[in-house]
Amino acid sequence: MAGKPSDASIIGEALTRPTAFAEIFDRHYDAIRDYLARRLPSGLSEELAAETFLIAFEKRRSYDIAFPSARPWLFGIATNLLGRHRRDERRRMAAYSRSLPGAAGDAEDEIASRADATQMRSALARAIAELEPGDRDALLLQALAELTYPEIARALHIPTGTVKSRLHRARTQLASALEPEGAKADG
Amino acid sequence: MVDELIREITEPQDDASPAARSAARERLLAAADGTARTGERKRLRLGGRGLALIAALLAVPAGVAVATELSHSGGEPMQLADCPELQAALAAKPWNPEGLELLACPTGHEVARTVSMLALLRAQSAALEARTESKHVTVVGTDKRGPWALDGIAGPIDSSKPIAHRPRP
Repeated sequence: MAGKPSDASIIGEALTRPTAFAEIFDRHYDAIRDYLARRLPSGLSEELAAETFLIAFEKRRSYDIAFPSARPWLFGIATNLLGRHRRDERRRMAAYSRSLPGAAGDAEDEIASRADATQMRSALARAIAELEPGDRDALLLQALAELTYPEIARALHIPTGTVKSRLHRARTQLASALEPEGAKADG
Repeated sequence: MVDELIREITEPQDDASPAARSAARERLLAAADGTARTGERKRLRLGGRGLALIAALLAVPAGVAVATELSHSGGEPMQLADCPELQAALAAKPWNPEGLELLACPTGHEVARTVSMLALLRAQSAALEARTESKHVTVVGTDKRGPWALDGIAGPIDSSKPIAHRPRP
């Protein structure tokens, strides 16, 4: 029984039969749209998702068919498009952080745990907003798109070693942001 | 745990819209059909349906456009590397084929015809480069699919205006 054709073979077919590329859209649109919707304020993700596939279609000739899955390639194009919306993304994270009810002053024991979780989310959102764009891209491609190191490298057109160092730096910053205030002062 | 938190705080603010998905798919299909892609490149086609080249190959000097847009093409151009017969034929020429793109690979006797046409166009282009007056350029021929023609007007070297063109039957 023949399995489903790989993305690479579909892209190859789309060189001579362009409408075949619709299959790539059908397979990956939802994931790309979800990724963009998680990084952008509402209203922008769908336009950028559509643009991602138009660009991918235009660039299909440059696709390296040695890679069966087009996922990293598509996430790379989407991430590249996000570059025009860095400010929107930071604004979204900052707005999220501000929207959470302040934990300070919630001294009641019974809500302490919830307050801690709220503080943690708020700190995390702030920390993500403050990451260097390249570090944030690597982190969110791993955390949201669940790409591996080599796949992130492929998506961002950087060496795998650079991916590792970016992720290390980003995660160190997040860990620092999530440390309790007392632990930071002690450290 | 951090990744779970990241997913929580990045929860999409709005639900996916089936209408937007459908519209995006339609846009893609329209681009694939070559009917509605904004900014679609206009391609220079020579030799009618089979032999087709983009102006880049002509190394046309600035302001000397030998460009006849005989049609919009929805197809993706092919690179020289995709056409081994033509690549082999051009390898013997002292030309730089960089930028050469084709809408179809010439095969058999079409290869020699394409090489001849390129030689002619290059000669025309070189001749025009040294001139400042307008020049009417016509290249015609016939292949198994019928007659073809390139019909263009070259302007002054310093012209920055589009060059009028007129396809021939």
